[in-house]
Amino acid sequence: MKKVIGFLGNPWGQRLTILVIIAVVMAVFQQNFFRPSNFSSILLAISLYGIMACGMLFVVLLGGIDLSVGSMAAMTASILAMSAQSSGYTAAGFITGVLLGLAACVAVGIVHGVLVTYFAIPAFVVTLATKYIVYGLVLLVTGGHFVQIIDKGILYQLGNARLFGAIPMPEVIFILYAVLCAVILGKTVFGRRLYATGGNPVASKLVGVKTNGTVLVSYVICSISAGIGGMILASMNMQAGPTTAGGYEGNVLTAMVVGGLNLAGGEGGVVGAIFGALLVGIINNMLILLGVPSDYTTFVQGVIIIAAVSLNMYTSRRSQGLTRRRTKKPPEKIPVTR
Amino acid sequence: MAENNSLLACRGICKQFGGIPVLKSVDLDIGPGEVHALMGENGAGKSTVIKIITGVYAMDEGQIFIDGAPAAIACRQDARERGISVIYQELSLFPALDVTENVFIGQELSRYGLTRKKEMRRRVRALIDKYGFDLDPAAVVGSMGMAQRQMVEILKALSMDARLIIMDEPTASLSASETEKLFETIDSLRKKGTSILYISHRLEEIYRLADRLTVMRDGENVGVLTRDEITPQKVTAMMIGHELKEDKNRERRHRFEGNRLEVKGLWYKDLLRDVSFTAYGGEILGIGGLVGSGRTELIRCVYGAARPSRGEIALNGRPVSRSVGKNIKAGFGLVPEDRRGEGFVPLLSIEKNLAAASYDRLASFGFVSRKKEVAFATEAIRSYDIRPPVRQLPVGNLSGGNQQKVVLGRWLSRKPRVLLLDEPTAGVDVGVKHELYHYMRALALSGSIVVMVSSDLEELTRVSDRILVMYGGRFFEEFEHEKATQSAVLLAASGQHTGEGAAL
Repeated sequence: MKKVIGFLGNPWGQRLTILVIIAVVMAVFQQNFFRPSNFSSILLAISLYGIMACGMLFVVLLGGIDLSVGSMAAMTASILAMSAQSSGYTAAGFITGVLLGLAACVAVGIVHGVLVTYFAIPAFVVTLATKYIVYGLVLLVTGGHFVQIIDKGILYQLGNARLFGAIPMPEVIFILYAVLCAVILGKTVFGRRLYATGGNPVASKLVGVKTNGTVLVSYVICSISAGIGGMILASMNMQAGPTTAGGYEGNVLTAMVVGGLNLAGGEGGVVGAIFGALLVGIINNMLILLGVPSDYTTFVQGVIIIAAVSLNMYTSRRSQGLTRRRTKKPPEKIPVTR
Repeated sequence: MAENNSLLACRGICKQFGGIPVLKSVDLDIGPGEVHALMGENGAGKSTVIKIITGVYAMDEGQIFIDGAPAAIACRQDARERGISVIYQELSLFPALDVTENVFIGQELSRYGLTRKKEMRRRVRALIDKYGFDLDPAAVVGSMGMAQRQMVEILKALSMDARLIIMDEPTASLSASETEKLFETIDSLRKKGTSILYISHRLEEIYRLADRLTVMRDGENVGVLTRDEITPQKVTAMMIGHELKEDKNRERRHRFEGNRLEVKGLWYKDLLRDVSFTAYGGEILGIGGLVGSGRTELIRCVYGAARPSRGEIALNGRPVSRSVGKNIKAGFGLVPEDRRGEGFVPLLSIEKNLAAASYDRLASFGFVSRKKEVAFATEAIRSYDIRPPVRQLPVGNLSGGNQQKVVLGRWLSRKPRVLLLDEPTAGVDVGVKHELYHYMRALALSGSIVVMVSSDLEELTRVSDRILVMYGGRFFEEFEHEKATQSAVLLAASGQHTGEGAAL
């Protein structure tokens, strides 16, 4: 029993267990699940969440949160679509749109970082506000309408082309982006400082980490990731407007939680974020294949969040030897008086 | 029997923790309406006594009498019902609530399920009037100063009919004028017949307040002094006992005059007032003084983690930067006092905690060299005998001593030119302590400057080559190793010159 709990308390053990459960369920009820084409469609579906989750990861590792990712995606999508449309779908118009969109993201990210660090406003409040501010700006600029994209040029290719005629472009971008984020987090000094700051900001300052700068850069990375997701979405849908990527922040945060990330910061990695996104994608796919009416999926998503967190909390407590028994007195330690 | 006229009498209290005796037959008598002081060095057992009286710990042996009758105190509730209350240093008040609500928290008066606010206010008002406190029952606690908050805590105790109020270092976070206010409060409590057990390190407070003083040392009661018997010499002698005269004539350490940290005229808030000193390579410079005398702030200013309002800090003639990052590159290191809060990142591995300050050497173009990082950590784990020697283990899971080895090893592996240590062995067991001293000494011998702030008098007098004692934000006295006795240092820390050292 101890071994089982130890296995379940390990993040890899949990991931494997969940995947095995899903595989068994689908093997019994719906073998179509195992078709390669189905896996491909799951991967495509999660590419956008995956990219945005990779960005959100930086912020979550610092114990922060960014609720504005959906709005930022809508913003860049609209900027790109409008720029492309007004230029008559030229490559120059596309590039301008991409650069403008990313610049806008960087600006919002800097605002987040400055408010969170120098003004010490909770990230939840800051990004809740900018979620509405950015969404409001998109409403104003687009007049509340969708910008339609009617050209099958470079902008269309971004979301719909296939590398080697097989792998959809969003998947390629997602995989490259995930690798990039993994390298930044795992191999650079910035990554080391990010984990340190997330784990103990005071101690980090005392070893010379400029913690405010680290936080600021992380919010910028999160914004840029949201922006990239938004641009790909615009291309996939061939339209962009205020409701593009609406509610995506919920999906991305679900991926974080389901991926077993500690929202208090300091631990976790790209694998967790991607696994979370993957799991959300797989479960949605599963529900469709099982013929569950789409009205149920939102309900199920909520249940999954609670289930995943409960499992995580329970097993990691148990595997650390902590139990819920309250009657037992804690062992008396030698008191240190000072 | 003495307990007949005592409010509280403890007889032969013994307590062990994990087989180690912490209290060895302690007696304590507190009379009604008496301010009874309790003094002793860190680790003398004061806190344990309080916890036994208030029912937090169970005693192994001994008896407690209240009003001369044997009393069993098994839990906090028992103590409270018998009129014993503690005022905690970290106050347990709710800042968003007002005085009345705080006083009645958990025991609100109610009728038909609704609280009776007016009645509670009236009762609090009556208590305030009785003791002549300067408080408004409707004032919100969050808007009050520390001294007033303490008054609210005292009021809370009085509302539960406390007869003995225990105060553990109540002035630690108070300013001078607030302290005076607290003393007035204590005086008025005494006049109304409430007893106070007052724990403090500050001799001047004891003179001001105490009717009697119990001194503890190594878990024993070494004596009780009445008001007119309390003199600094007597108290410090009792607190320290017989000093071991060992190794005082060890060979004079070689000073590397070429490595020199100079601090001139440093001011910081109202905690440092014109502090100057020079530390040399090759020596361990000890900084003594009571908690709150400005020691921690001093080394933080030197390190760049606090910004002094005035003053010069120079290493070998060159001004020291105000940036921690730059100072680390220039060869500074700091082992902070609060290990868990400031020393390391609990979730991160031993390896990454060790390497945390050294990425200037372990990375190029922003990319960490995994090979160098692993080698750095492996070498440190081996050199400083960090256990278990597993690089990937989170430091939060290690024992206190090994955590401290990680924090110290992080700097030692860099061969720092200046290492600043703040209470380096607090909460570390004896064996590891000596290892840490050994590493510190080895670093000094290699020519580095080592500055150690410590409240542990034995450590300070044994390890330091020279001791500067702070008192009230400035250096008060300087001792050479040969002349430094624990009692002389303790007296200097209380603002008493002994003539052993050089007055500053």
